[in-house]
Amino acid sequence: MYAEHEAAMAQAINDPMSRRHFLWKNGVGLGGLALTCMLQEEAAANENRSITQGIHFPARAKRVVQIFCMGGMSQIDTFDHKPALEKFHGKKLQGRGELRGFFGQAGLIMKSPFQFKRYGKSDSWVSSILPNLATCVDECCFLHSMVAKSNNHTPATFQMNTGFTLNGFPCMGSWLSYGLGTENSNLPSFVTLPDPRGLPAGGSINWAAGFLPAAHQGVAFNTSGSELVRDLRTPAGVSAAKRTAGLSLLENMNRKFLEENPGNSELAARLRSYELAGAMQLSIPEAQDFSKESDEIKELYGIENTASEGIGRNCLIARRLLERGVRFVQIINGGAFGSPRINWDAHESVVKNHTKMAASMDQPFAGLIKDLNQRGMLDDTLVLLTTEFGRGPATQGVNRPGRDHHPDAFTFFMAGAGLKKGFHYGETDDIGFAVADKPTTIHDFHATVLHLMGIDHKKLTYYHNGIQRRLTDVHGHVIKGILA
Amino acid sequence: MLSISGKLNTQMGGPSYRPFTISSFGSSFYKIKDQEGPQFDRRSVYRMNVNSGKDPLLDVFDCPDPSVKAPRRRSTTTPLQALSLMNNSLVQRLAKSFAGRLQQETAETKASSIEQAWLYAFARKPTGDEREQCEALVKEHGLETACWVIFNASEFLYVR
Repeated sequence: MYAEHEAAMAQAINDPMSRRHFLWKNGVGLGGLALTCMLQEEAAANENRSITQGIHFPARAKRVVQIFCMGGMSQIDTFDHKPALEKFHGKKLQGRGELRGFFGQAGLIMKSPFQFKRYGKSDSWVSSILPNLATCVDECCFLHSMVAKSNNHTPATFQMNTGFTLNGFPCMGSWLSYGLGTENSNLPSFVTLPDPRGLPAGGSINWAAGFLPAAHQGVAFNTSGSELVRDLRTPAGVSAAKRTAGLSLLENMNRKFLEENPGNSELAARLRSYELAGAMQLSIPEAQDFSKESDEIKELYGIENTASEGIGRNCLIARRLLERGVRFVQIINGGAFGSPRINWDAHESVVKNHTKMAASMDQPFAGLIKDLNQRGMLDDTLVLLTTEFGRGPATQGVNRPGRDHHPDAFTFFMAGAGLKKGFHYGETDDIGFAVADKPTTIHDFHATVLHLMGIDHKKLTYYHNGIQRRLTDVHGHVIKGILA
Repeated sequence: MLSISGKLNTQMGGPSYRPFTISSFGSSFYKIKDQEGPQFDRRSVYRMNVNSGKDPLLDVFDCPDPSVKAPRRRSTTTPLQALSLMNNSLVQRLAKSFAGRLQQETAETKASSIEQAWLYAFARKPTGDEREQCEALVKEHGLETACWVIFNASEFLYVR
């Protein structure tokens, strides 16, 4: 028995093909990443072809960074300029179809309180609250015809992250980790950087792995708290000598147990997991150590500026994580409900709310795009700006300069790998109420991100409760019109 | 861990325990709170599980989402699990409890606390090597450290 196991182990380790079978047999996954998130990296190295080349066709992007504007960023006050709003300003919103606001108290049509100007070679309209992102428009590919299912923050946020309005489904970052594995062994493949002001609606569900194995869940870096990642640090009362002595005995015992149970890959993986845990205790704090970053870089990200410091730091951490091989980094701009509001949910006043929210992310996110560009990383990195829905052209109630939720037309932008630059896709009507051309769903958006990562969204599946589940459910079409 | 450290509360039935605090702003918000006390040391079937207040420790170990059916529990091996077992406050607390239990019991019987620990955790006596290495560790860093090692040991965590 013993010898047989050993022979199988040896063969599996020496022969990449059978090693892959060995991995598959013991796990659940695709892309050879099943049993642990660490053995696959070695497995990939044993193959001629790297996992990063995509699993269904060649990948254009190797990694993704997404900024998620929690609360509902108004399209008509940022990137979707609607001069006709001036004409209808103060008039009733009529004959445009069903209003899907959240509070259902549509007031009068309100023009944007912000000035719009054209920027770049692409002549793209951007409002005055985003002066830094305005200088990046020639890198961006705008999607002006987004539609969402829900007009309620939490389900809409879930749809943004998982494709489904109900919870229990894996996030896009989890799907990418599951499909493509990790490119590094001492950092997670999916990292979420929540806003220092608070967690988004639905909390940790927004980086959950759903029914996928736990290895694919997003690891949230708590950049506002004392501990960056939960349970990362050795507890205060445990000295380094004590911990080292304990780990030394533990390793002896675990090694002996593996020898007594040869061929058990999980036991080997456990030994390795402790080595990686030790590496993470160093590499995770290192990712947010800016001591080697220049003052120019810190300024570029707006870290020196009180209004943008929090998101600025997170954007710089994001770049450092992407450089170190993290596959998917999500930066959340905004927390959940509260008073005063800490997200883009401008029910009371577009001016007050959006000015403040834009100031928190404009310079950091523009800095991130420019920094990735100057490092040559924009060629194989996908940059996404998303929100769960837009905001309606009418005020919420009368004499109140706020706007209600509006899931029927809003704007995203994408930038980087494999995309047209300075491009505008889709159109809304004259006042930004409804989509006039090329309606685009969250499923289409997800299908396109997977496509750029070398994945056919219809083929990346996971069997759960009788269904081969997909990120895009039974929907989604790759948005061919934006591909370079 | 609860069981061998003598902390498991075997009370059956009754209302479940709530490992979170609740605040209200339009709707209810749940925040997981690290709490001590026998009411929190019950079997996890008596744990109230809310979607928006999931326990990161259980999450790391593939605890299924409470909103979906999970016919089969997945099992993965990750560095974050290692970090949790190394540093989570519950593990530290229970290592202390386990050490306390061993000390109390062996003070009465004069038996070896290391041997007793092995019997509880692995249902066998330690080998000569194990006993020697563990004695050295206990002498230098206390019985609690040895209990922490046991909670992290593959032999303890896996069914043979």
